[in-house]
Amino acid sequence: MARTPSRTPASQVLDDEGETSLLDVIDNALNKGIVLNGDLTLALAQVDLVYARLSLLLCAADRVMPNEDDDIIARHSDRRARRR
Amino acid sequence: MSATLTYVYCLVRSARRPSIAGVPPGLPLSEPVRLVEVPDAAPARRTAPKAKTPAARTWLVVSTVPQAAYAEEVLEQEMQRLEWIGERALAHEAVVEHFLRADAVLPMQLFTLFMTDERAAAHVTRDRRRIDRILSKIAGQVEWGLRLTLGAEAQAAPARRARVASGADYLARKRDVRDAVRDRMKKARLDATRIYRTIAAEATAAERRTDIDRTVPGSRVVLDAAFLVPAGRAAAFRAVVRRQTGPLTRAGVAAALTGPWPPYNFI
Repeated sequence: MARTPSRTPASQVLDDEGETSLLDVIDNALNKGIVLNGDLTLALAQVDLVYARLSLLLCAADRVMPNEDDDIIARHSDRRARRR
Repeated sequence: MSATLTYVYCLVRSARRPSIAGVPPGLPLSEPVRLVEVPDAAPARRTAPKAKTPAARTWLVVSTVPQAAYAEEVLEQEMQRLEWIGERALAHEAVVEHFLRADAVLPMQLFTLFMTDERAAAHVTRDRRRIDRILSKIAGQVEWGLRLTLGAEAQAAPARRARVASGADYLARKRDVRDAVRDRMKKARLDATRIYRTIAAEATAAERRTDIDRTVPGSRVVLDAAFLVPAGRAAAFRAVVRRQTGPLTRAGVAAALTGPWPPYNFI
């Protein structure tokens, strides 16, 4: 098994923005997939925690666009609010 | 308590059994990816003498994972490591993307787990109406993402020209740079809005994900949008995007078009 996952498999990028794809994948899979209420579901607090860490990482490394983190978190909170 | 769990990647709607030849391996430590058919809600339909066209059937794309690796306590702890999540998010996404050519594919949230296959299928059956409604909306469609970012170069360009000879000059230059940045952002946002509308007209549905007004000061993202596009129109859609973003790219705005994605933003 490969240790480091390859970037988005089928999704191609026209004008590459580098790291953003991985963040987009996490954002999508974690935040926008259909919630089925499985036997084992993610506590909302856990999802929030991931976003907090995501933003920390982005601030520290500055490897995506500045303020992308705020953007992601704003979207995340929005979506959460709408779901309720 | 069972020693394994059923991990669900997505739900696929298709008249024929989807092919799992060449499907990616799934989450780390999981057994091979397989299909679980969800029986139709109303068995009465099967006895009805119609069925001219083959009725679409529903499958869950799942794999068996060891409970020890994905138990609640494990998730709670590992969710603190972005690399751990990232590896699994990519594996999850890769499996979902394998089924993009099906009539419709509904991606599940990361880490959707059930004790058994039967319980997973039962949950879908229970939620059938909501799921069918979403499926009919996204059937035959995929998502494309477009993000426009004003490059740092373009943003700061005017500052280079000015020579600094005194403190007053320095302050004046700072002000000029600030004004120039503001102007460029303003123009880039106007361009982005115009482009978004034009491209949205080519799509089945569109969603502008960034509310610019709410974006914090200093953000260089001028557009973050998702478009729902018929799977067969990908080439034409990309051509439109290229044509629209071309002039902006030359003006220092980076355009990133990603896809095809499962229709995450339209479910």
